[in-house]
Amino acid sequence: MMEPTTSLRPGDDAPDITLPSATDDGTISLAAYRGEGPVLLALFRGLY
Amino acid sequence: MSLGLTAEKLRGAGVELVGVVGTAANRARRYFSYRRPRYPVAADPDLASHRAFGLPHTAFTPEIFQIANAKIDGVAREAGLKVPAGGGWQALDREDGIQPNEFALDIERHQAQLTGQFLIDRQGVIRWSNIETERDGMDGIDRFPSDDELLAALRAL
Repeated sequence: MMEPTTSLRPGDDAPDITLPSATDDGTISLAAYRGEGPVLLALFRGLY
Repeated sequence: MSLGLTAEKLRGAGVELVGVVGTAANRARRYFSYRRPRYPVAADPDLASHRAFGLPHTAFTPEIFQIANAKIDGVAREAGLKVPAGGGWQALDREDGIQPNEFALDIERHQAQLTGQFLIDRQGVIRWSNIETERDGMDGIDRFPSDDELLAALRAL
């Protein structure tokens, strides 16, 4: 039913994403966490 | 999105939960001003992140629409709302003080976008992932991994 998945897998480099914060002024960037510690990135749908 | 306790457990294990929601920043900020998440959340109304991580996407079919309606009806009933079949969306919007049309355009634009979680190490490499429906088929819609699953993935790092 869904298009064949081409999702990134363990071992792949995570693309950097830089986006506006959904709660405050400013941005959130995955690159900012590099060298800091692991991140669990959770991609949600919209707030429908 | 109500993952405050999960975020705290992950933080205790040295991991930051970072969410991305497919809603414009200005509207998301208004929404979250009533229920502020206890972890950073970014706004991505065009779902560019979902595409960058290759999450599956398809047009809304009647079957998907039916499943989505049933799930939302369940959420509404769990929240103590009395809703007729297919009435969950409107009931929850009323409860949240959201104008129904406000989000309808996003739904139409996004169609059926699947979600996913990626554990990314400090070098920027994905070490674990969970793609919605990949393990449980359509029963896995809206299923967020349990804290135990997440902590087990962390221990394997």
